[in-house]
Amino acid sequence: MSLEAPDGATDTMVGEDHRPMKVAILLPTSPDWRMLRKAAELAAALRDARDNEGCGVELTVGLPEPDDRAWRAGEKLIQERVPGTVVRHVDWTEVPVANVRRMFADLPATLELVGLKSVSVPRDWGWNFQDCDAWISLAGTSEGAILPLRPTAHYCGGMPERYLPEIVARKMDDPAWERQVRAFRTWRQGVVVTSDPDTIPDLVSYAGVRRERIEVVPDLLDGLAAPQPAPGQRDPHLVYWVLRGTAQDELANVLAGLSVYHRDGGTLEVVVLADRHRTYANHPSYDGLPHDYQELYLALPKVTYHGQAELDRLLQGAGILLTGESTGGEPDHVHAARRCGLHLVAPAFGLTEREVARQRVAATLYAREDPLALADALHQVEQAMDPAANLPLSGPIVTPARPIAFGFLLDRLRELQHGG
Amino acid sequence: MAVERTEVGIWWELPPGARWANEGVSRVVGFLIEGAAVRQNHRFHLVVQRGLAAEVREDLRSLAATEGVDWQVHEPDRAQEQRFLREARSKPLRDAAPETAALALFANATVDVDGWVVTFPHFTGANFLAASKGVLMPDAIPYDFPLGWEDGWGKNGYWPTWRRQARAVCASADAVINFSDHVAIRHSMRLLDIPRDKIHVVPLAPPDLVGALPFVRNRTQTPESRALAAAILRDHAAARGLDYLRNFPFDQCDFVVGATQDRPTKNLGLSAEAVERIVRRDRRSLKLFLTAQMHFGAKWTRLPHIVDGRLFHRDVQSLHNLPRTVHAALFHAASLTIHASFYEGIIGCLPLFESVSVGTPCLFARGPHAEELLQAEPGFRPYTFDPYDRQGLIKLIHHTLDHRAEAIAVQQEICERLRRWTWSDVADGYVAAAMAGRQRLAA
Repeated sequence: MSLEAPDGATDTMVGEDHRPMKVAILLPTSPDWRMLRKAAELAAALRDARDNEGCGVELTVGLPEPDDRAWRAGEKLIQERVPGTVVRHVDWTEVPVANVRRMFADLPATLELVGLKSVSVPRDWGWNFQDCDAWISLAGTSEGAILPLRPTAHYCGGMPERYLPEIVARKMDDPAWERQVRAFRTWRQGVVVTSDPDTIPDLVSYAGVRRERIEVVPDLLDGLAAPQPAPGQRDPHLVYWVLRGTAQDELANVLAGLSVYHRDGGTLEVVVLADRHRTYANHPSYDGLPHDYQELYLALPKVTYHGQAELDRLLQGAGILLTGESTGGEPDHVHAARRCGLHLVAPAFGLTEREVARQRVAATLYAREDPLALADALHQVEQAMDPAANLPLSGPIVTPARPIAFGFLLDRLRELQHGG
Repeated sequence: MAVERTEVGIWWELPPGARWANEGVSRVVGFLIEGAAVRQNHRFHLVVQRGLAAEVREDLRSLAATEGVDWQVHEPDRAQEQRFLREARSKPLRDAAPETAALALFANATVDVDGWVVTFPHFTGANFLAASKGVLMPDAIPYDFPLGWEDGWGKNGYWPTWRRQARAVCASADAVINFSDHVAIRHSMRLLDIPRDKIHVVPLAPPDLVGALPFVRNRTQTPESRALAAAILRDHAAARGLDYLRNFPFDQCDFVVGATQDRPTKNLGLSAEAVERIVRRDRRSLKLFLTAQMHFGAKWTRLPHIVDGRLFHRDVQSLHNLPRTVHAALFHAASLTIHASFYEGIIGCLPLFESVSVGTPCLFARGPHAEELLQAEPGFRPYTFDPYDRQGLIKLIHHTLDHRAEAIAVQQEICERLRRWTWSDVADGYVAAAMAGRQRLAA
């Protein structure tokens, strides 16, 4: 391509188009370790990508964390994964829509804000990320309508709330639903990024995003490094039930299955693994459980952990990873089983079935919403178990297509930058 | 060649202060006028209370019919109103209000017609009309589903009073018009004791919405026509401030339409429940758009409990009070229409004909109304379901979505045949009923 400037233009102007794109990755308020990990993996994926002009990216991450210690830990995690990434303090600030066009005079005229009362702006006590060329928001719908002061892509890991609406709120009149609509309104005017093909119909039909505004990228967790080998022996009969601490855990289904399994005389020991920051009694699904399931849940042994490294270390001590997740578009459980060498027992649904095959994970999948099927799956795994067998640990899934696919995302952001 | 027109009165007892609304039976009146205008064989005369004529005329002027030629509206002036009111009060009124009796006396004196179509059987003022009368008796649904209308069943409550009045008005009429045989048998004969030979069954002509969407060719949904219909829906959502549906890609997702108000017999809860299971259990992306308003807290309908209780309010959306074009666009852009009603007073159901007329197949629940249609058109049977069978409906929805082209081809062929029965035929049927007493009067 010629770099000759047209009449009246300067080389600098042409060159500006081809300098590395400065991309901001924006996190929601008080992100958990999974969210931080996602930001770090996205940063790593973008670092390795090039746009169609061969340009790379300059990365900055907006971390809105009111707790100073937690903020520093987040900064460390991101910078260890992608050295050189600048991490900024952020505060999502609500701005009345009535003032928005006066406060931010460069907003595109086509931006439609009718009916919205307020929008969220990432305050960084400086340029408020307007020094970046594009934004990628990981906030989901939690910050409402994010004002796209720069071309914005919204990352969506899946839409489990369509299937488990209590993830958003327990009542229909909860303000969280309005916040969700406000978020969807801006998603519809930007680009939405997902790694799960099954999430696309939900983005169209539930979030109302046109298909042509959806970009599919490779699974962010493919880039995760192999776990550090843990000391100690693996107990193949130990089952770790890994919780997210959201309705996605589908407590009732799993507890119903475990109840049958124990009554049948099953001998595998089931231990609940939960993030240290999420207490058991506060599990959002606990109150809605029948009394006997609550008792069973409380009686199960529990171990808490914090962060990826601790989870990796724990998982290497068990033989089976159990999950109740049958929604969402991010196969954390499949990656965990593969990386740490566990046999996966999980409900069968599109994402898990596909990922088990792709990642070649040893797994027994059971029919969703069927407790007897879960009990049968555990019996089956127990009977077929070879105590001497030891599944290997596994590192990143590296394919040549991966940086190319993230390069397409950069191209899309460039298009947005130019009004596409 | 000009045909001599029959002069026919339309009796409509709008109480003083009421408004004329273009819905329900008043829409039927509009269709009758348009149907007669095509054949130029009848002229309809509407008689209304003083002060209402201007409003009614304004509405009727939107019809494909000419004022003074195809229709005329009459109202008394103040002096006439006073005079006939005095006269009415001197007569035994029985159940009639003096105002409506006076209006009938005004009509007898000033409107020269060969017969009357009385638009509801409880219009007791009609008892004072002198010319031949045919009474329209649409249905008596609360008598089949009394728990749906829990109030008004005391000795002198609304429904026993309605039944007494309807019996009297029908008994004094020369003919009774029903939309269907099943209403004739279940309600007119069994409930109101009307003799069979007095009943004229005149089915409605299938409504046809295609005229509202000029971009639809051959009654067929294409990606282009669907996109245009979706744009109409988006504009409507923006105009009404429906934030969730602003810029919504109606043309890129599968959705089902339920086009009816929510009433105790409409069974909208079944449609919502089926779609909920299809989305959450079967993981098929689908939405349900209803033209009904949601009555949260109501006991007579399961719909709001399903939407609220299962937090299914994103995938069940209410689009009510739709203008005609938007209503047609909703049907056209849909993947499928579902009508789960237990009972309709007509043969079949209106959403079936409306939906198919713009290229969208329809599934409908079996009931007396459906069985009467199926007797004539058994080809519809594969697209019907038991109104209690959730699993059956779910299976049928999946199957029809997977074989949509086949479904619409079958239903189009049948509806093409049914559309040969026109509003001109219906108007002739109503006029025949209205004139049924001429021999009696001549004698």
